[in-house]
This record gives sequence, C-alpha cells and structure tokens, in this order.
Amino acid sequence: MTRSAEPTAFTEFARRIEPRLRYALAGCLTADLARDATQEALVYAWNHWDKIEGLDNPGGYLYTLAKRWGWRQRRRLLPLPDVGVADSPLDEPGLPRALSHLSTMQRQTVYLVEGLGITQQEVADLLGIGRTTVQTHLERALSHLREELGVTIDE
Amino acid sequence: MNDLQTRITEYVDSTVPPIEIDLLVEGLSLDEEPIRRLLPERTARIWWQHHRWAPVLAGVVVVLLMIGGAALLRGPSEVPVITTPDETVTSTTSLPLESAGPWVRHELRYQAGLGESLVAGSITAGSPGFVAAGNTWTRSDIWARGQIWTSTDGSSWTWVADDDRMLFEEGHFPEGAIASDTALIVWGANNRQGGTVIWRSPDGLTWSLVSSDQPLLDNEQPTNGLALASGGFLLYGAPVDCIFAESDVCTPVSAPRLLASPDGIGWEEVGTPVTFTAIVQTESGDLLAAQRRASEPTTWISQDNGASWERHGTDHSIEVGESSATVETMTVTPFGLVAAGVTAEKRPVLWISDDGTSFIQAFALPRRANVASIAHGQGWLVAVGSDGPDPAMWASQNGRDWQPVSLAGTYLGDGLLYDIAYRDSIFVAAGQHRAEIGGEALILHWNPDAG
Repeated sequence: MTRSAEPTAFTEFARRIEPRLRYALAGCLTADLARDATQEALVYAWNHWDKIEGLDNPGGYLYTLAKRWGWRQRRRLLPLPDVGVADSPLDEPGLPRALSHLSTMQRQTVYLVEGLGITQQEVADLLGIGRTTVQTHLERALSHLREELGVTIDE
Repeated sequence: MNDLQTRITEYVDSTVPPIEIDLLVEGLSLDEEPIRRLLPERTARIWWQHHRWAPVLAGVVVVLLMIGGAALLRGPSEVPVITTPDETVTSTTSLPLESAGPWVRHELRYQAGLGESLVAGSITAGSPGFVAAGNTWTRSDIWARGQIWTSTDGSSWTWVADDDRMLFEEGHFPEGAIASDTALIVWGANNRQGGTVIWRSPDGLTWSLVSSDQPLLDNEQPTNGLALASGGFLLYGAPVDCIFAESDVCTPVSAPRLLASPDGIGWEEVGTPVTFTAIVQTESGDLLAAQRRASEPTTWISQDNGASWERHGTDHSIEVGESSATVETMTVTPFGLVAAGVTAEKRPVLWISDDGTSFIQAFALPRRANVASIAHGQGWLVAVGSDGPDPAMWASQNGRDWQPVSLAGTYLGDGLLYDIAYRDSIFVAAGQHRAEIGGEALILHWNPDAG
C-alpha cells in the first residue's frame, strides 16, 4: 500500500469532493451503499494520491470509480435500490417518493444542482456527460417534481 | 416548496449522512488495519469476501486488463475536464418567415388504467403511423411505469395495454423510439437493474420486450441513442468499464460501445473508435456519426452499416482543452445536415452542414434552451426542446434562418418537449406539461397543409 498524501492537502481535497461524490452517488445507489462508496473512493484517493492529484478531473474519476464499486456490490448483495422511499422527517413528506419516481440521472442532477448548488458544468464534469444533457435531465426532473408535488419551485 | 435546495440538502444529508473527513484522515494516517476499521461493517465483509476469492479475481483482472488494453488501442479515453461557468448568450434575430402553426394539443390522460401523471418521452413515425413512448406513475408507485401509444393521424391515440405487465417490468423507463420499414423499436433504461432495454413491434399494435434478463449495454451509463442503418439498427453509448489492476478496486476506463442488429431482436457488438452522441443515415446510405467532445462539431462516416468508421469532418484533435463542442442531435434534411448542441463556448446552437465535414452556426438559442429533436417535412424544419422550464419550439424553412414558434394556448403550465416526428403532412411533438391535476403528456399536432 502506498501512502504519499500529505494530510493537509488530502483533507482539503476530501472536504471539497466528499459532498459532490455523496450527492451524486445518493442519486444512483442505496443510501448505505452511497456512503460506503463515497468512503471507498476517498480511501482510494488517499492510497493513490500521486495519481489522483495529477488528474484533470479527480472528482469525475473518483465518481466513476465509486459508482462502479457500488453497482458491483448492489448486484451482489442487494435486490433493488430503495432511494427516496425511506421515512424521513421532512417538511415536504411527498418529496422522497417524488424523487424516487425520477430516473437515476434526473435524481442525480437534482441533488447536485438544486441540492448542492454546483453549476451544471461541474455536474457534467463529475458525471461525465454533456452540460446540456445535465440541463435536460434537470428540467425534466423539476417538471416531474412540480407535477407530483403540486407545488411551484423557485427558479 | 419555496426552498428546494434546503429540502433536497436536508433529505440527502438525512439519508446519506456526511463522512467526517477529519476522522477519516486520522484513520488513513495510521496503518492499514485502522483504515479497515473505519469502513462500515458491510464493506469490510465485502473486502473479506473478495480476498477469499482472490484466485478468481486474479483471472478476472487478467481478462479485464486485456479488454482494457484493447479499448486503449481503439482510442484515447475521454477524461472530463473542469470548465468555467456558463456565459449569457442572446438569441440571434432570424429573418421573417411564415408562422409554423397553429399547433393543436391532444389528450392522452383519460385512457383506462393510466396513472395520475403521464409523460410522452419520445415519438417516431413509421409505416403504421406515429408511436409515442413514455411513462405514467401514481402516488403509490415506487417506479414509473412504461407506456406506449399509437396513432395513425397524430390526433387520436390508442394505448397499448399491458395489464399483465409482460411488456414493462418495474423500473423500465422508455427513452426513445425509431421506425424502420419493417419494425418499430422503443429503447429505454432499466432503472432498477441497469442496462438498456428494447421493445419491438412489427406493426405498432403488437409489442414484445426484446431484452430483459440480459440487458444491452449492461451498465448504468445511459445509452446515447438508437439509429437506423441499411442493415437494421445501431445502438450506441459509452458505458464506463473497469480495469482491476489492484486487488478488487476498479480503475475506470471509457468504453464506447456500438451494437448492431438486423431486426431489433438479435444484437451484436461492432467496433467504434470514439463515443458517438448522434448517428444519422444519409440519402446515399452512408452513416454519419457525431463525436462526443471535440473542439468543433466532428463527424465520422461509415459506408458499411457501422462495421467500420473513418473520421469525416472538422476536427482532428483529440485534446479538447477545457471545453468542447457537443452535437446532441442531427437530422438529414433537404437543406443539409442540421444539428443541435453546444459550442465550445457553451452556447446552445443550431448548426447546418452541406456534407457533414464542416458546420456553420445557423442560430444561437437562448442561454437556457436545449433542442432535443428536429424533424422536417413539407419544406419545414421544426426543432423542439425547452427554454428553461417551458416547452420551446423553433422553425425554419431553409435551415439557416430560425424563429421561435408560439405555443400559446396549447399547454396549461410548465413543461418540456422531448421529441418530434413527421409523417404524411403532419408534425407531432411529444412531451410533458403540468396539468390542473397531476402531470399530463403533451402531444402537439400541426398540419402545414391545413394552413
């Protein structure tokens, strides 16, 4: 095992990338797998810091790695995802179920753009898709949410 | 819901709690064993299972290394890059032209057995008529349910019943439709198990689920599209694959894929040099494909129904720097090849090309606009998509001068248009809008001959 990362540099990187990975993975994996996969990616980043540090888009790289890891575990261990149907003490009780009716990409873009507040281009880089594809998924998702929740969402 | 960001954040953070970085780093700074202790119990169990099966994994590593090596030989992997935020773009003013419309809205909502909300996500036109595919859901459903509707005239629609759920399983999410002379094909994602799913009909009336247990493009990465070729159909996308060079940890590599089928039933892999975002067939039968990520719109050509490809147009560079142009949809028209996408400067635009080798920017769309589909007929080009939260449509009579089409009175609220098709003097656009109760599929119909 190689450990070349300086804790300060890695910590700074991990603090910045952790919510993005977690939100992106929350949209395509079960809750526990999303957290495991995020942690798995961060451990991988620590152990391969020399490589990760030099990448143009380390977040996108780690997301892909974590997603594949999560999907492999999901197929082995879990029958189906339960994203969005867990009980949650929210002001908007219909939100989890409404989110569960979105496609994976739609849910991920909502989490990242609307939830985390990062730009569509940053989401595109993270997920490895085009910016307008992000926009399409986002608009479709918001349209679904408007309908199902019967509410107005601020632009 | 006035603060969606707060509620989404609250929801995600409550279901997937943040990882405490300080604790993680503290553990990582120690030896290997404490790292394992930081991992959740189930993860640690998985690691143990993997190590117990190390000889098997070693064999998988060798095979995947060979696959990965072949992928690297085919072409460079596509590494995403960080780019700058969007800039404001103002639409160009087009020349005056006839008004495209009026468009008439049609109801799909009150068909027996349909859910509270409907979406018509795609539409195509073939010899049996129009076929729209989408989904419905009710507030009690976990998964949206796939649906297909057919119409001979674009105004009256028949629902393809699936009471016994032989056609759409849980998680099936139709995304696109295409028609050949012999078959209608709908493709979509399996949101529950991953992969691409195909439905096929010889006549628009009887449908069958083609792939279920062995989904095509077995990955969660969405298929980019389905194209017609002289010898059948092409399915293209870019799943991400893994190389397991170190224990059981995945090293991702881009793996552009292209599958061919003569009939929409049996599919086999054919090679592709890059990831394609759109494929069209020219009048000569050649296939033109748009490359994902290039400094300018870049195309590849195949003269053997997709079996081999040569770079055709515009850009020969692989390195695209911090931004890239992406062609997201193309259509062969009497005026040339019309394409929609985003420039390297992140402007949503419509391009036109005489031969697919060089593209001229014909129209700068509004900053938040997106064109999802383009159709042509009766001397008209019609592009549909969205402009922010609203359905949007643009029309042209030469491919170079475009103007927005008014949809006033055709829908009740927010919505989007996803696809458009033309057949027998009729344009039909499909999408979704917000109705008074729940959502409703948005089907718009226009006959240019009717004035």
